[in-house]
Amino acid sequence: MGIILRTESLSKSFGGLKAIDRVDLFVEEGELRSVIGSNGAGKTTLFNLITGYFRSDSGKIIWRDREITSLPVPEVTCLGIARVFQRTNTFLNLTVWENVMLPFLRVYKQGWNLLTPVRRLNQRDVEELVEEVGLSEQFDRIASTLSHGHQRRLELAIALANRPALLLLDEPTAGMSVSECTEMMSLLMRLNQKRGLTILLTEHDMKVVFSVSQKITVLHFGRIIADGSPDEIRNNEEVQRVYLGESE
Amino acid sequence: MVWVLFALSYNLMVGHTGMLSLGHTAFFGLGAYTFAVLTRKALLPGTIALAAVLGVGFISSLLIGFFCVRHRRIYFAFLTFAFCQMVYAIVYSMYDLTGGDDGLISVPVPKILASTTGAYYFILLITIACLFLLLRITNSPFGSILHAIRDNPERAEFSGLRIRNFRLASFVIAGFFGSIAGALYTILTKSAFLEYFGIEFMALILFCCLLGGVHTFYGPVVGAMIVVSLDKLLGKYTLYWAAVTGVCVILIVILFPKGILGFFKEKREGARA
Repeated sequence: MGIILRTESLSKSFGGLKAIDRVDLFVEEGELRSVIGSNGAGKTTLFNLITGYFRSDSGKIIWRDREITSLPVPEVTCLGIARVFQRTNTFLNLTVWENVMLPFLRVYKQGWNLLTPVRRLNQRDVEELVEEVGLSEQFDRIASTLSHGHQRRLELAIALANRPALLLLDEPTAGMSVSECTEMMSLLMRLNQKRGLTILLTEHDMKVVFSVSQKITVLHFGRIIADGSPDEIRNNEEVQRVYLGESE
Repeated sequence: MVWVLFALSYNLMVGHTGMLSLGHTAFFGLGAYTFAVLTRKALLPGTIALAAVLGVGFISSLLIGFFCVRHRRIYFAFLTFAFCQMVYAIVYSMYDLTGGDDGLISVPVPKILASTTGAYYFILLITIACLFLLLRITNSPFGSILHAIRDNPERAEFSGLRIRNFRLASFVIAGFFGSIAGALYTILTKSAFLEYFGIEFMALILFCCLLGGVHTFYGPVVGAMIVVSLDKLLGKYTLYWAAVTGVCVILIVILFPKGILGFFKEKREGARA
């Protein structure tokens, strides 16, 4: 498996605050990697830079040997990088099937079709995906009427409908109950192992991080202070001192 | 009928794409004046003038939309208003061609449309055809993308959709149908006036959409029918019909914030959930 995404000396500041400071991140194809760090460590900023939501001050983002540093969000998504936000971000006034169907319109280049009724398109793809995330019974419900856990699943389905090679998840279990959290993580592991989907996630729950991750990157004040397997991270003195010591 | 078509075209932008334009009357006025000038001043046949209206509607909305869709919310609204005022000023200043403040009257129309009945059936036919097309567009994949952009532009971008292109397309389609409505109005009234570009007319069309329900396809149809009926009815009994309309606006906003059809749609969806 080769490197699918890498950043080279990536930096981003907000005023005098260095949110991301010369970050060199390597993500291998097919791996499930977590990025951890305390609040304000730069995890979400890193995701915003990778997805084109923010422009970096310096450094490069390389996706499969192609530089994507200054590409806008839709271009990055079209290349195969999908994202699930920290705060649930779905089309709240549309039904579940409409939410999931929309990315397929882009994937199958049907977006400029002005005359075919949309109900007849991509029905099977949408049904399969909705079933995979466990929302079959909510198919025709308006997204805003779903529970928080179901909305998180719906957002995951929207991201997966983009047919990504890399999935970025910003605290996917935030606000979920213990059982919802377990279901979500087993779903992510299934996607990683059966589909070979590369996953990069941020998470505050260390039990979750250490149980599902193959690799962990630790950010502290915008800088990577450790990178390695869960055991290596657990035994890293600096990580223990600045992060794990606080959270455990 | 003309109001129905114009309100439907406007609602494609406002209701289906979430773009509040304050300058949509520019296309109504351009359609009306293009037809009037070509038939009265250039003495061209009505069919050629109508074909020219389609071209003018498409090109003008593409040009204006190109600049406007780069901005969102209040900036977009005021930019569209500014462009509308620009078009108004140009039409006003070209007195020899447009009649300036006096407008154009006695616009010649094809014989078959000269009578009120002939014009009525022609307008009815065109309006139904346009309504059918707009309905197809709204229910198409393109229409679904417009709804998504209205609902959550950020998520739409993260679904790989280049939303500026779709917003521009929505603007152009709305302008195109808006100019057809303008030409039809000239055929009906055999005249064209500067008031067609006015903010008062714009506000009335916005009211039609709000009254019926901006998030429904048929809402503007219902809204336009009610507004036109109110206008005719109230005009018979009082000089202050505009004040009564104002009271109606306040009541609608308080009682039916999502419009009449929007209210029933919400009830239906609530019952289903």
